[in-house]
Amino acid sequence: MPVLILATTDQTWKSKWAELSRDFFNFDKPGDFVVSKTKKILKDKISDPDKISALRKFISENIVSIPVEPFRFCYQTRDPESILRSGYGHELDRLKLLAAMVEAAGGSFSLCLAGPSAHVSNTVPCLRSLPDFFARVSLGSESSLIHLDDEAFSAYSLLGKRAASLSREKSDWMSVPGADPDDDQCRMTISCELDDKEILKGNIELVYAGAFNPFAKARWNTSEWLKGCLPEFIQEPKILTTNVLNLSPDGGPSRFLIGFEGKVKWEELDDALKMIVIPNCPQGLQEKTTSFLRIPIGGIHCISVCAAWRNAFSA
Amino acid sequence: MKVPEKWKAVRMPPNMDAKTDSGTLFRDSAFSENTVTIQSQFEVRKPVIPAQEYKAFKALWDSYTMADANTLVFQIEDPSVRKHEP
Repeated sequence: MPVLILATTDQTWKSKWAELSRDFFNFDKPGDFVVSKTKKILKDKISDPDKISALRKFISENIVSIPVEPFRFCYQTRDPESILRSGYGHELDRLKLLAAMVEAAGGSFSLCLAGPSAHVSNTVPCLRSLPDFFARVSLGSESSLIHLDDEAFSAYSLLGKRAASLSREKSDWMSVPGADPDDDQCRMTISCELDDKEILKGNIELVYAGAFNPFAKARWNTSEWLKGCLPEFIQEPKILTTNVLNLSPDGGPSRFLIGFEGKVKWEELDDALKMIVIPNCPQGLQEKTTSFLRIPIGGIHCISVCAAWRNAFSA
Repeated sequence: MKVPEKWKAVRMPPNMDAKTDSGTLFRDSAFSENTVTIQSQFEVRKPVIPAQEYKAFKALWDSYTMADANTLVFQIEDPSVRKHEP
């Protein structure tokens, strides 16, 4: 039976929720379009509970819930205005829009997860074991716990509820067009900036997706990739920040965000020409895929890579 | 990758959009407003590459991994100025 863990006083959980909120809802201030729409929705609402209820109802009824798209693993969210204009979004998109509207109304918002009681003792919140999203919304004197598609806000609304909307069972994956649970995908995105002193500074995002990709291996793979590839194009690279988001400890999407800085290793062709070799994208995690194909993975070089190893070894 | 002003990308990975029965390759490179953007995707669509498809698949893979696909060359408009900077 699902249990609501929002009420916990455990600081670890609270800090993890804060991390989740930062990861998924890191937008600037709500844009004009969101603000004006929020005002319109709240126009004739006076009390704070009514305002919260109106915002929840608007999103629940007007923003269509869609499954996560195959290449949007780890719940990459769109900006609130885009979600509002398009009228659709996955679970976190819809909550992100709610967060923006709550902020536009002068309130505060945080993301929470809930799931089966057996998983509450997990030290890391993950979408697989805690597959239901809630929002803690504070507006004026009112503080509510919201589940977008549930009328009742209380914890009792969870009793008997199947907390499986986002679980990564094979059958769930198969229900998403084009998303095979046996996928072994790795995506790398590097965003960086070179300054006048030829110091390169930026972020590397690595996402491993696929229902059966173990987190431990994703972590190891990332660590090895950083050790091997960063020094190839940066002198004495410094890792400034790391943000590990493990959505499913026993398998599934893992995301790593690494901030780095260092002086670029150029090959000087002449005084005016400089050449740089762009780093490799890490390979997928399922050993049998790449070892069987015997492809020289070390040859991939790209700045923003989407290397998809799809259907590589379905059962 | 954003580069300083007066830097220009004069050589970028070639654009590709190719498909075989076993895999697909897409790459798009652009340089605009001092920013190099490269997006590429290699997808293996079959668990086992049949012998008759291997040649085409290998050619696709070679296009992805060839040396040309890996390098960026920048030209600095006035390197003498840069060299004499403190």
